[in-house]
Amino acid sequence: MAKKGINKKSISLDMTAMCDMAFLLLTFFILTAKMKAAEPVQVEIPSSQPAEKVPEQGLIRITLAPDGRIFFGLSEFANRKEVLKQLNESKKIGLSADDLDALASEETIGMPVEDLKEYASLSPEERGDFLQEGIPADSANNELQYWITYAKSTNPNYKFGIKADQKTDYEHYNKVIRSLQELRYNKFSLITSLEQ
Amino acid sequence: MAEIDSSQGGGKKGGKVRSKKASTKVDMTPMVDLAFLLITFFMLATTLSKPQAMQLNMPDKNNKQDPPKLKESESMTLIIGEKNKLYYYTSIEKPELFVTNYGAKGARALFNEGNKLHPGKFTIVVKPMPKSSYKNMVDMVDELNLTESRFAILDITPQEMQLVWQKEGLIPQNP
Repeated sequence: MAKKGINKKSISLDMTAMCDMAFLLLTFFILTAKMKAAEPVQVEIPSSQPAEKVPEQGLIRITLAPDGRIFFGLSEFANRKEVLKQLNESKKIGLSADDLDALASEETIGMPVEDLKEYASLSPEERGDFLQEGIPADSANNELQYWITYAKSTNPNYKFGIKADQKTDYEHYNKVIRSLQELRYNKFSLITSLEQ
Repeated sequence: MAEIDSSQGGGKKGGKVRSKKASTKVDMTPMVDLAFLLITFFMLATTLSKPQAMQLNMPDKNNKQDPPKLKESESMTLIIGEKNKLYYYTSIEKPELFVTNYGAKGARALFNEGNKLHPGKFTIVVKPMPKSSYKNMVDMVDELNLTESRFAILDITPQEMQLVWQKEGLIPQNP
């Protein structure tokens, strides 16, 4: 608002209101922005034509590293814990209640069940350096099917999202699909980025 | 500019008091600039990074029924090879591999042609080789969805692998 000066004409705007609003919006966006959870492996997803958006909730996320390691991810903490609890019982890993909490705090895990106990004993900082070997999904030892079955038992409405690196060989991807198909799940979503 | 009137009101109601002292003005412009810059960043970062989900239905493997028979003339087998290569054949009796590519004039033209000749019936069988990249498969599925083609992804057979190797000159041709 230009103020008619009495002795001098100065074009000055009152920025206070604008500043208030700008910071209000800024605060809103900062608070609503969701921090991307640290992932044990960096995956470069392929791009595709516009499809539907990936649901935030209710998705079993199977991540495939370029070298074929398989990672399992669930978005809900309570369900992750339940899956680990069932795995602990059936595979007799011997995890304590604290171990379960520690493991459930990680959104994405990919290692054979034998490694889980050692991984749980590490501090959150040390976990980044731990080499996760991926969940075995061979026909002789298919642990991925256990993870999927237990996750489905916590919520039957879970859908499958497969997030694989562009350079992953088809045979690794096929291993995941075969494991799912053996459990009679024939519908999945491939997670891609929007083609520019 | 935003200003803070530091002069004493002097008790005059609504009176315009012109201070003799320099008023404490704070130039808010850079601050607003910065705030808007950050707003823009957070807005774009939250809304633009949403990944996409591509739906994919696979045939039921546990189904005891025989898979639906396809007419040879209404189907095409597409083999996704290594190193971004793409092959196809149409004749099942005497398969002969042709090379094509991922461009608009390659695979897409083939799909469009097939769909035009046999509307609603043309089926493409996609068989990726074990060492082909996941990206190529996604590209192909994308292309198939775009041309609204009927397709199925199946495992490659040893015979087909041999055909590809022969085409590439890795093993000698059959006499």
